[in-house]
Amino acid sequence: MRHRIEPFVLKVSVALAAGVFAAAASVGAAELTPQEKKLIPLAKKEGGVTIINAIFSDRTSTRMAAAFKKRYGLGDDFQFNNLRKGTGATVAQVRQEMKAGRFTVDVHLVSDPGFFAAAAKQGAFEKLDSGYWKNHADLVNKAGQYTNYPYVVVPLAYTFQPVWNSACPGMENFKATSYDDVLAASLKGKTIASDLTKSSTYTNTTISLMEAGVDMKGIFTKLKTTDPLIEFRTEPKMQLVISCERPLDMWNLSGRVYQNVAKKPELAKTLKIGYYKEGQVMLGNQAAVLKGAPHPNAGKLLIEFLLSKEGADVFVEGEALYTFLKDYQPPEAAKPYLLNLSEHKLLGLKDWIAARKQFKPVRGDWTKMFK
Amino acid sequence: MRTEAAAVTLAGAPRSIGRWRSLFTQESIATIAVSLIVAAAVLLPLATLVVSSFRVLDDLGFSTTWGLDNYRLLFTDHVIPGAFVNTLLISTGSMVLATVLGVSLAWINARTNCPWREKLEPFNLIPFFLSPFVGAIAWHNLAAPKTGLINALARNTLGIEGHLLNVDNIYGVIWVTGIFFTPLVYLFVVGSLRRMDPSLEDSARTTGAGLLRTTLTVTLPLVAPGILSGAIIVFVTSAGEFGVPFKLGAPYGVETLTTQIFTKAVGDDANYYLGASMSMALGAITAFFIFVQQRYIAPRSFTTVTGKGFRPNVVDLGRWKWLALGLNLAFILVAVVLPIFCLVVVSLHPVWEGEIILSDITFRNYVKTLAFWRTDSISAATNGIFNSFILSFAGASIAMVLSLVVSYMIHRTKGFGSRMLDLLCVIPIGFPGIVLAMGVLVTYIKTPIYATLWILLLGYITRFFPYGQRNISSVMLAISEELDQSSRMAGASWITTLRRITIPLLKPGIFAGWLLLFIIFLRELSISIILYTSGTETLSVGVYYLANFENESLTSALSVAQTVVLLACIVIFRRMAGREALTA
Repeated sequence: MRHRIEPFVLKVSVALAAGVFAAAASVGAAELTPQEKKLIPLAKKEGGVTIINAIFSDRTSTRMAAAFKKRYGLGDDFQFNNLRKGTGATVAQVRQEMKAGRFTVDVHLVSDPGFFAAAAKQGAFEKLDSGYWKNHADLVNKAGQYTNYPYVVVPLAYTFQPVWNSACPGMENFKATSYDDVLAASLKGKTIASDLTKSSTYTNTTISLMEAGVDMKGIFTKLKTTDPLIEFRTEPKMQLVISCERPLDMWNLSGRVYQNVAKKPELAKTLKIGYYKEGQVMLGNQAAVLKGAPHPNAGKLLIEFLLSKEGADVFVEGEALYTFLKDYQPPEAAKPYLLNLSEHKLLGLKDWIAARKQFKPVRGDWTKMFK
Repeated sequence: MRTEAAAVTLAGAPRSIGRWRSLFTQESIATIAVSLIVAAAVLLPLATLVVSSFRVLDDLGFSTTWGLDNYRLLFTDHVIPGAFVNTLLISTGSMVLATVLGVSLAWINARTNCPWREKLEPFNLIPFFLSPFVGAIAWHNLAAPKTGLINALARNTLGIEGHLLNVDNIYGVIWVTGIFFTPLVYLFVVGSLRRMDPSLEDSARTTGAGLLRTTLTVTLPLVAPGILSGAIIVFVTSAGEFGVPFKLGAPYGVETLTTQIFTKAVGDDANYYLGASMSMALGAITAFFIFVQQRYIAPRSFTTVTGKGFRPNVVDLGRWKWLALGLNLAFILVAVVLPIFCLVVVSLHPVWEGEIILSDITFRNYVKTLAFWRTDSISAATNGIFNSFILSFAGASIAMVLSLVVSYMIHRTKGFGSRMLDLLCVIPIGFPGIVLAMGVLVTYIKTPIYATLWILLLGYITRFFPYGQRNISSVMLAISEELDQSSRMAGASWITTLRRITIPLLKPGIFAGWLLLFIIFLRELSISIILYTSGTETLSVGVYYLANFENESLTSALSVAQTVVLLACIVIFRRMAGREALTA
């Protein structure tokens, strides 16, 4: 099922920090839904779960495993496997397993609406019966995200923001609130170009901005004049920023700043995060349980966990990600790294699936410019 | 008439029964079984790749049709032709660098009076055993324009603005690949130099030729087959190298065929079928050069080496010996000392900020990558250590058993079968690991070995068992066949002969081969990166994972751990296999 939204810029309060939406029942950690109760014994019997995704670090994975097992009383023997690869790499593996009909993965969580739509059309996912989805669906739709319940849900999202190191030469007084700021000629030799050809999320961000009327060709042309370094994973880009090799990254994740500050708290003073007044593209991460997965019920239970407040606390605290859960208040530690979305222009896409067909021309233009 | 026919049939029956019985001897059963295993292991993945290269993927990535579009894209795509050219440039550059360095060092150590040459020789060979990917990580931290330690030192001490060195480009890829593959050329050349008939050079010297002229016109041409073989092997190995261009090339716009194959195979723009056609292109290039090396260069007789026991003259370099020593030390410095020093320095910082901060020094990164019992350890790293040891031990052992039987069949049996087997053993050498891994993945994805250590084991053995086989073959050729024949004539079975005569005689070759494979498996990246999944990470995959999902400090910590293990293996190798196991 395709999700379409009106062609206007979304200014939704994705109830993250602000909690604009007051109504609706908030879901606490203490109560388990009937769906969860039904899945627990089945998950116990299956004895494990494997999730493939592009974002959960080892720290988050360890905490998530502990919280997941504790919440549902799954016991220490329950195997929680977190397989972290690049966005496209997760898609490549899942697609291969679907084609071969041989599965090692239970839950696929990644931002690639085109893939999820095509796979759902082929009947590749288990049907979900979520007790929590109703608390997300409204905001997910308002944020212009692709979903296809009861097969595909969106437990979390992230958005690319400008990140820079104010301790590096020439960056002392730098601030970024628009694309003009990160493309100034004075930034020559200090920038990074995110590799569109290797990432569907950068490509979707570009298409979404184009749809919102932002001149991306102009942006890339200006970026090219700053002689950027081309890289695609956010962690190596963050390393370049920290070491002053390239002190400014146009598109990174606030969560990466957060994680490095956790390693060295002094970095909190020098690593800065900006935003774009032209709009912040929200990249919802779709989640589904693969039909044929070795642990389908444990997979469904894990998706329920990710949609619950307790699950959200784990990934928001660990990765500074966004949840679409109503009335959600993020943990204090993560707050400085999260945008108050009610104050920002949020962008989605009119048609995430049709956007997939724009990948080739958009990437082609980018490649001609940067490669 | 009928009676005659019956008589012929009856007379023929025992002969045909005898012929059938001869097919079921221990020797022929082992021969047939091993031939089938080798043929299946080598040919199946390659056949799968060929077929896959003609499948064209649709935009959504689920349906395929037959066609030549993938091959068309090799020429029309905006990146692939450039990647092709870069691959050729890098391979050629690395080959030239490795050949110049390898031949120079071999000549210095084997034929001159360079001081400490015997002591320095083992250090010259160290890069052969280390991971080029780790070398690239180290050199990035040494010579990245703004944050490299060497550049920082140059700015602080010499007042240089900007940078002194920059390895984040195609020259950096050539530099690191070249210095890490220098020992390959060295090993091909040094043996010939040591066994050279000195009278040939003496003749040149007595006719008035100087040292330089004699070296250039007599010595080097005499070892030309060794130089050419080494150069071709470096060219092919460089073309198939993934780790170095992945670290120093791709982020800076220098894509190669291997980085593109990786991206197409399991990367973030996955199209396995296009990857297969690129693999075919890369495989065709490397296979061609291996064919040339095997067919035309390797068989050329070293006319310098005869039955006489030669001890070539040591060339007195005079004052130039100090320059030779300088070159020797400089190579060890750039290929061994500096990279390891840099990795250690970076690994001791919680977050690498491009400068040494003494107050930051911590061992936390080692705890996170090595302390598997702790909950805050990184499983890709700790799993990698365990899995690599399991794979290296099991892989080297199985590969050597296979190598033993295959070598026996090639050198102790005659006919079409042995020639075919010899050819099958050359094929994996001609195909880069990443290409073979692609074939292995798709061939075995529907089997129970998918996503287990077994598929990695299969990939490793298929790709590298010819190395072990060649190790055994070199020893087997030196052992007379008569010993085996005597045992068989005395009534011993094939297995008994193998167990009591052949294997004991081959022990040094078997052990050297086992250890060589153990080391290769311990640092293997190209195959593992395609075939690993959660729980089956290897040491190199762990390093790759940390480089992609963590930071330079954690990456360096695991790299140091891998390097320490490999260095320990080198010490064991030299102690147990003898000083001259590689260089003789």
